[in-house]
Amino acid sequence: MAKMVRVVVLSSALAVLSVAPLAFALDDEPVEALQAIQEIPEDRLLDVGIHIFDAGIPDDESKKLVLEEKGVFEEIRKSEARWIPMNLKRTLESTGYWGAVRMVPSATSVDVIIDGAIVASTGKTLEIDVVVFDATGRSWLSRRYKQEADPLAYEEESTQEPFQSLYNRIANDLLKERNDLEYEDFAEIGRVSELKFASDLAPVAFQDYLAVKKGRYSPARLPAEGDPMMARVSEIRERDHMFIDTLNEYYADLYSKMEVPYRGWRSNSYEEQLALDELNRAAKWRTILGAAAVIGGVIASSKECENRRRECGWSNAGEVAVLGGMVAVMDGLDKFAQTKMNREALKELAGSFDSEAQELLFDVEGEVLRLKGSVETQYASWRQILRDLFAAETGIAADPNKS
Amino acid sequence: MKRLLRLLFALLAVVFVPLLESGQESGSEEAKKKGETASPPSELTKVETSEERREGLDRKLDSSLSEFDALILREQEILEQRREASAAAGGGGGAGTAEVGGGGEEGSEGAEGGEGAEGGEGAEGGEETEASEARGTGTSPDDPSGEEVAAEEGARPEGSEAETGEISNGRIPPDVGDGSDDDIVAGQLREAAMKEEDPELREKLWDEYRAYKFGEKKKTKG
Repeated sequence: MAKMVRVVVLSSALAVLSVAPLAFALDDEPVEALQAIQEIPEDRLLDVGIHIFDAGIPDDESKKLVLEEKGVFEEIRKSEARWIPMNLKRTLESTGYWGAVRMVPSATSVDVIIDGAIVASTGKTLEIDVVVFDATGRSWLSRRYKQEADPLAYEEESTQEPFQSLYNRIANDLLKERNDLEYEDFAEIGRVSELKFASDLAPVAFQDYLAVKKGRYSPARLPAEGDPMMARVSEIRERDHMFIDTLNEYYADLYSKMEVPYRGWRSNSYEEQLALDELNRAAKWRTILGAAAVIGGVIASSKECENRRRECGWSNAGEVAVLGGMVAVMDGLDKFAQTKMNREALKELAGSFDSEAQELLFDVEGEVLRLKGSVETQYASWRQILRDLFAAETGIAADPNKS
Repeated sequence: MKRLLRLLFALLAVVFVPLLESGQESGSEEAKKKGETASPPSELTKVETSEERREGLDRKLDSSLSEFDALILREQEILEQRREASAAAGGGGGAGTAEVGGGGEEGSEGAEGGEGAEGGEGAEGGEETEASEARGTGTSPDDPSGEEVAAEEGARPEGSEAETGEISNGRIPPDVGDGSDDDIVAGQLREAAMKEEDPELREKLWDEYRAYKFGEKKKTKG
């Protein structure tokens, strides 16, 4: 009887090895972005500037090759470094809690600045670091966000972003920080952002308007009502916004052109990654449980021989378990070999999309560089004119070495 | 006696003329130095200099801003052409179609490894919304009077473009002159307008040109 029970138990253990591996994913609740239920007054609308993210690709060529072996390709990452901020921009815009949300060049003065870096990005997982601070230098948040893709988003008719919950979580966290601000903080952030722009453009005229203490900016004094120099700076800032909006349209163009191939790549990458994860898990568990069965079988078999003092043959349960365990171990090792093939498939997929991404990126970045070049010439000219105007109005000649 | 007097005058001239000249030179050098440090020196320009200089610089800034506006308009046109090209190619076209606001993702950890340190919060309400693209400077409707003027060829003032035949296709409005007295900014605006294919945008560029050029003339006359 005892022998029969043992046979049943060991058979059950072996049966477990043949079924699909256990799922270990811990589900999070889907997160939606909080929406403003009424129009936010203008004096409580902060403009947001999002920098292009750090693609997480090292400069070192040999390190790049190592990453490529892991399926991480430079041009894909560079495209994603623009794609992700664009998605965040759209998410923030959709909430209605913010003023203008733009992707901005790094030196631009904006009320709230979002910086980020890509840690991991596949069709299945997105992991990014996000840092947010405002014009005064106050830190809002510095956090790592990780999200598993929504499989429904990869269905053919879906237009949903697979990682939308991640963007929604960032939007909600930002909103929480914004809601913690006092009324006067909004005004101060706006003033400092404006004065930073002014002092960058005409330092000779505005350098005394800002005070910096321990990395925090505050207005030291304010321009008089109708100050002609400030009026000129405001005119230029308006143009600065026009320029940034135009840049954003180029990034929107990239987004639009990337959307279909990127979705295709992510969807394939998701399937491959899923298969790879399953193989990995199966291989791991088969090997572990197989080994356990072998050990258990050996122990059971030897104890049986010892207790009953009977001759031991292949017919007893222990030996069956040993045999079954060995088969499982072999199967596990075979599965490990299969994962290599899947990794190669993933790499091939990424490599193929990488060339496509490079073309798209090259096209848009070429336009962006050309535009930036023209605008920089204009800025240099405006800086010179403002410096001359300041000298003409005050009689104080500016130091030409100080822009 | 006369000879003596002549000698005396000659002597005086030899001694004092160089002295007088050097005195004038040093005086003008001082004046120059003063002029360099403090702007209004003396003479007739004294009242005009500071004010005129400021006005001149403001004008320069205005024209530079107009030039920038024209640049942005041109960029808008390039973007429009790109959009049209990609629409014609049938690629992309999905800008603004990605849905935002909706959840539906499941965060997981385990087999993947790695850790998340996110602090996401639960959310309430919120429904999926279509993302709309932030448009930059849109083109604003403008005065179409230029087209009417261009149509009235009889009212055209004389000018070298009369012979070019370009007026007949409406590329150069008759009221803008031949551009021979254009400065750099006006020249750029004129060139941009002449090259422009889109009639609406072209008219806007001509408007900028008129505003700049005739504004300039008024100011210089005033």
